[in-house]
Amino acid sequence: MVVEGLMNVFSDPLVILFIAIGVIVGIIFGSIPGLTATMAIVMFLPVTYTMTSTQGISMLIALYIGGISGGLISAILLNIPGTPSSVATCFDGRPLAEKGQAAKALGVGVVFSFIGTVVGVLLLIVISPLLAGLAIKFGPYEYCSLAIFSLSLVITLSGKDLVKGLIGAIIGALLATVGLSPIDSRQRFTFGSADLTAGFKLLVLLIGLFAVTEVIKYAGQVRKPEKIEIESGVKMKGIGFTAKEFFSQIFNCIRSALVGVGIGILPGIGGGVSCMISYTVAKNSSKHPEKFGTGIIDGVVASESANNGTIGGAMIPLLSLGIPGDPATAMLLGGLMVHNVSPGPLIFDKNGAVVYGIFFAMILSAVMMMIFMLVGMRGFIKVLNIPKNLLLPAIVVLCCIGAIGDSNRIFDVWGVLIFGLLGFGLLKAGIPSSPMILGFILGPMFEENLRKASQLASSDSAFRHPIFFLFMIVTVIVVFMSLRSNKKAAQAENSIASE
Amino acid sequence: MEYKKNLFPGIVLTIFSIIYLVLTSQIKKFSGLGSDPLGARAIPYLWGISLLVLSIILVVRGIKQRTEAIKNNTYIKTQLNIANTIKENREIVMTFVSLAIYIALLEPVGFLIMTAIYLFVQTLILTPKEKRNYIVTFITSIVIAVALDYVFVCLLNVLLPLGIFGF
Repeated sequence: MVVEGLMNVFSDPLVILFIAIGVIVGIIFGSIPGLTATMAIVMFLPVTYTMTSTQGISMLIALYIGGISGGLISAILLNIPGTPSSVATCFDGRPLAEKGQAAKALGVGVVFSFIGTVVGVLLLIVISPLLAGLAIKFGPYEYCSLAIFSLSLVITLSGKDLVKGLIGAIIGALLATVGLSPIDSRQRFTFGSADLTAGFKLLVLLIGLFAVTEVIKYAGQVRKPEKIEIESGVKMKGIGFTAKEFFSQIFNCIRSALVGVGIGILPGIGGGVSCMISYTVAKNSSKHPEKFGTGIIDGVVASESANNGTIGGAMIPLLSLGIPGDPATAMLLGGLMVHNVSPGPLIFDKNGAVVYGIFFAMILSAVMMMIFMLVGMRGFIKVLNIPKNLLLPAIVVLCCIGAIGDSNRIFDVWGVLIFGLLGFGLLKAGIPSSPMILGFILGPMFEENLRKASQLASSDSAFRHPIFFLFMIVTVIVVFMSLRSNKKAAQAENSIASE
Repeated sequence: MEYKKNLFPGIVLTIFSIIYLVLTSQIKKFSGLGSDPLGARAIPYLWGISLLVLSIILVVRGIKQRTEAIKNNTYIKTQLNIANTIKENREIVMTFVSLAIYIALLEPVGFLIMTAIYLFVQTLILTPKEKRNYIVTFITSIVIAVALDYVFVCLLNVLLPLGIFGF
């Protein structure tokens, strides 16, 4: 299977071409503030419909890796993170650029993004078969508790405002109840419509929430444009930093990448959180924490290794359990389903070649990402000037094609519009949309397995399932600890406010 | 102003969750062979009731913030003026309307024509008045529409609505 996967990727010149295109487009999307890796995947999904599964999935993966990596360009040059994953790159990347060392900051960012990706992929290759092997023994009890555990992470991820985070998750779960119920196929909330009987599609929800909402947000700012000045005089020479600097960062890089992978594995928490946590960890364990924020490469390394490590981490639960780690992997989940690859514990048996193909495509994308960004940096900087008023309408049309092409019905395009409206409303109300995706995916998983477990309860007691109890105990601990840390954070904020 | 972000969504979600719960009670039960003790209503009830509780918390929070704002004299009385709101956010409203018209006419008129028109209109909406260039926008819209149609229909074999004109 490994060899077959390798052959699938490297023996087909089209796959390599699609990966190259994917990486370049991904970097562009990542570098333009307001366009994200998720949007790049949304946009290119219809392009992959008629490709083979290896071609299509490789391209989507390349877009993901390029998209997360491209964010560092605008973080360093504009002080605006191109994607949420590069928030922490601004802290030290921008001061470096102000000191006239933009090329060094960019070089460090690119090279350590590459290393972060590779560390993430290696861990993905090691951990996902093990996790899939374990998950194959999971029954309704285990899946039910896994869903509860994953949903409980919403509490950690919603930060200060727990109520709104939970509301987001429940709205997602509510939307997923439309259609036929699991097990007994009852019609729920269908109002007699044949289209509603099939329920809402994950893809349609994601396109509406992440693409249409972005266009509407932009429409709200047409008359108040932000002035952005771009330094276009940056010259890249080689990688921009010395071998000594490289070796001094190895430990920092590995630790940050591991933080990134660890956070990526947890469902729903993406690169935005991982780069912040990794930056804090690097600062707290550094010998010179006072220099952080003044423009040292340690900060850029911590942020960029971590957010790229998150890519591999987020793929682990996606492939072996079918639970995406962040919105971009939720989009990939949609992409995998379009190509008839169903993620879950059986993926290594059923689609082994495709999975190993994914691993090789990730490594190839990482290599291409590094080469393209080092060689073509000037080009990517120029693209930052692309007028968004021309780009966004084209993205909307591509999203509509994506929605139509999946199952050939206009109903889904209406769904995109409605979810775009919903996404905008939630944005205005301050309700986060990431928990919603998690609720939409985990809600049905929870229901189906809870109801199966309720059928089993009389013959097969829950006490015979240690993993079920393990998950429940971990859930209680996670909920308790994150409630406590949220409370502490709120108290700290109040005390600052009252002073 | 913070209370508005809690009070208004709270009220909307409360109403929504009540409607959802009423609809849940109308789901037909199944009690034949292979049925489960929980049935098709249990989980929607769980979500609906959770949402109701959370929305009420939001409403209560909003009311508290509002009374506090009135006490501290930071409360600004605003009158809901629909015409003004629409005027203030006209680009957003127009984006929605044009997208809705695009989707509605996509099937009867066809992908190519509607896409060209939509791209033209949407680009103009997203461009500030003083920077609008009708001719350039018109040409780019047609070029992009034709290119998309060619790539998807001819190269990628994706089925798109043809419309009455057959293209």
